[in-house]
Amino acid sequence: MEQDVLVRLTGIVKRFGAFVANDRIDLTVKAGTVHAIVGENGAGKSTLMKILAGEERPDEGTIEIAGSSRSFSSPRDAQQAGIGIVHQHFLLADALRVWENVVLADEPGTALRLDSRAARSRVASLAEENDFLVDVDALVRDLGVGGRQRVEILKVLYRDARIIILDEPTAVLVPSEAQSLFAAMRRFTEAGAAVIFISHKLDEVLDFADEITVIRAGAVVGRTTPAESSASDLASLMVKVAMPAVAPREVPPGTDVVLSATEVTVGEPGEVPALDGVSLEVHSGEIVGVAGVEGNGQSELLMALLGRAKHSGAIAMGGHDISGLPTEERRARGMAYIPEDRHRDGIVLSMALRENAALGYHTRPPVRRGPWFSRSGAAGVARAIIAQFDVRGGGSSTLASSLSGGNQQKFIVGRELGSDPRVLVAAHPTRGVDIGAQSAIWSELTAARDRGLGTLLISADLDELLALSDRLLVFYRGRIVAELDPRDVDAQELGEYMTGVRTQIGGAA
Amino acid sequence: MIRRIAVTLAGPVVSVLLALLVTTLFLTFGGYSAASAYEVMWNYGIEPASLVSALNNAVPLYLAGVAAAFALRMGLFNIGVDGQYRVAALAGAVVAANLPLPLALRLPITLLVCCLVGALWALVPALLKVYRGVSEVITSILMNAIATTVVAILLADVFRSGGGQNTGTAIIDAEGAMPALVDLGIGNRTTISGFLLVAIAVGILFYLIQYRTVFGFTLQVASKSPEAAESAGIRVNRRIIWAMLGSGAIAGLVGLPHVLGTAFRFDGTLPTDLMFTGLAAALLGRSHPIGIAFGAFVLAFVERSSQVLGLVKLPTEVGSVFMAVILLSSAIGYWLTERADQRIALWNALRRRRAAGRHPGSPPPPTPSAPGMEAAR
Repeated sequence: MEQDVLVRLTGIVKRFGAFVANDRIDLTVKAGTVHAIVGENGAGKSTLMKILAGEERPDEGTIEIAGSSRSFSSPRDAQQAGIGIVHQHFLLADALRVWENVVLADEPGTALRLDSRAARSRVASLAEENDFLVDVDALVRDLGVGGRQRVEILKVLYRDARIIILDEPTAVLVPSEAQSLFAAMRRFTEAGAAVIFISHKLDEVLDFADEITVIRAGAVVGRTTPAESSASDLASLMVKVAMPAVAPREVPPGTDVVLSATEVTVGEPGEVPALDGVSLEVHSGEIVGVAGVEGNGQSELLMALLGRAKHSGAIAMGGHDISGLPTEERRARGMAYIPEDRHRDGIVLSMALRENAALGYHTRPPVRRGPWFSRSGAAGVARAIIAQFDVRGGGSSTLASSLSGGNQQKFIVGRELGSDPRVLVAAHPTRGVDIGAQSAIWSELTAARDRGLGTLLISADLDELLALSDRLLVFYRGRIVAELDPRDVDAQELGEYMTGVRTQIGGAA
Repeated sequence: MIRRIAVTLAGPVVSVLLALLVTTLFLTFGGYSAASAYEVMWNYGIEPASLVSALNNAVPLYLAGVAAAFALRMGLFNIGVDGQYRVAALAGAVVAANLPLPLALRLPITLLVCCLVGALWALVPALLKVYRGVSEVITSILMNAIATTVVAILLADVFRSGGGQNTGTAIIDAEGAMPALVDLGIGNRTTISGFLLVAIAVGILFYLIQYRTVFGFTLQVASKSPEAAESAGIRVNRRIIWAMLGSGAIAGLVGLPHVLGTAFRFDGTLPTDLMFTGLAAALLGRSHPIGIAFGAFVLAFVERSSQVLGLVKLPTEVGSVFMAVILLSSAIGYWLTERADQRIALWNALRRRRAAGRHPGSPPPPTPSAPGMEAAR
């Protein structure tokens, strides 16, 4: 029935520069249903939801809410149209109480006086109606993630949202919390609301959604229902890569272990550990790939290896335990690092390439000369990187910010590989770079591998993982769920492991 | 390169011009002749005795400015310089008066003790920032208030020498005081204090540490990108502590020119507001040791020359107004010059693009560093 359609998105296009995040997406969500949107990282799910929630404006396409065409110029407009979104990262004021957070910006009372009694009782009754076990007077900073999420949902309910968007709501929850969330979602739909939830956990999608839309590379590639499809159907729709042949290697990997992690766990007490008892080994001359949907413990593994995150378990380099060593010592022992986000911790944009060449290598010659920082030494290193790795756009005194992203990345890769490391921990080494830079970086990584460098390669780009890795570990919910041989794996199998449909028992090394 | 230098210099020049403008308005609306006031000030200011006095007065301002800049380069506002130098000055006065050693030993020890005490006073805000996440601005200001009380109690109950009306520490004899560097002998009071050398040494040390050592490099990285610093193995928290310790150590010297060169004891005559003028000098000089020296001298010169205005029945507040405006305008001055710099860069880029558009296929001209070359096209 036409009047049952609460949301109708037609031909939504959103471009960021030359990149098309949403390519003519059509989406229909009916009242009283739970609609799941699934897709890989960067498939465009979050962008689409931001458009629906008024946080981004579409370049093309129309939004219809309950039959009438709308154009949102702000999240406020979308709120008034009955749309509420719960972001993956909560937006709460820690120092305020639960009910204060909920009513914030829509306080009852007059402009000068907050009717705190009405506000508090309204929030308390909302929580009670929905069976939310949350103390409305508690300070938000005292709540766990589950509690915070309930506060976020209360915020949406308080504004009478009829279309509730949940962006990866279960990523941070323990299973029992997830169950009660799904029960709550059911109550909302029974009351006539529509719930849109984003996930790449296919088991829960199949269990709880009424309708499923699969998005890949910004376009809708499938519309289905749990009754009509299986997890492996969905996985193969979500993950589609041309399987490139792994270049046959001439130098066999070494036998000595250069980097090992034993039962490494990272997490806040009382929460689900983000990295849960992971053990792995990297041999010299070997590239070990880590596959997984983002947010399944890869970042935590990086930070633990680098010595920036508190962890339990042991990490060793070349047989020596480095668990207790600070980052400085680990790097001095030959751990090179290519960060996930180059602008966050790879380079300093406001410094010259000369200074950036010294970053992480300031404790050794030629940059360090006694207590002195040798500008000429650092400039020499920068020039060597620029020449060897074909970094274009400036010399050693050019500011890093005036280089293009690809050249910044080549500079980082050059700095890390040029330091004669023993171990390379690399995350997304070719993210956001063009094809030319990508193949240059790939060949540098394999050349370093043939020279005996042990590399742990974390990437969201499956082509990259399959092209470079000697072994492939799949992460799901902070654990290694499979160890695969990239030479004989198919996309569907990989997709199933990544989305938790399948697990290889005892797959951990 | 030339543009870089021009932009660096433009900030302070704009600040001073703005300050002159506001002061002129202040005088004119007050019914005074600004021109004659400036003339009187200038003539008095360039007298040898005035210049020497301005130079000597610039020394503590310079030290305060360098102390502030040391923390500023790590992105920290050490607003506790006042408290640090007052506590350190008391310690210095006690050591200088009581240590039974010859000058050659007693003076360096006094300086060192002052540095230590200043650093310790600055350590409290640093530790609170690192371990409790409290802003150093708040805690270092609070430490100033604590310093006032602590100094008052120590002075009254412990270090006061003699009884009755005496409210200072014991007098420092010639073996404990700072000797004069040189007496120019051109008229009244033209002795340059030995603290000028201390200030120069501190300036050189500041430059070497901040601009030339690996430590200075790590401070820069930690202030510009804490995340990049941590991943590079630079522990940001330690940099915060070291930056505050360094800042406090320099701050510890600020009160000494007065104690060891003017009052020869610690008493109520110690100026208590050197920090803000010093901060103005640091802002004027863009935290560069030579720039701060320039700023400190300009401020001391204005302070000194405005004293004469009272004699010719003009408001002596002109000096205070001038300095207050400098403090405000040094922020605006940078903003204006930075914007102008960006405009110029944008303009150059646009012109290059247009030029390239007119001659399709022609290679883009080389780097835009020389605007003159662009104009010649």
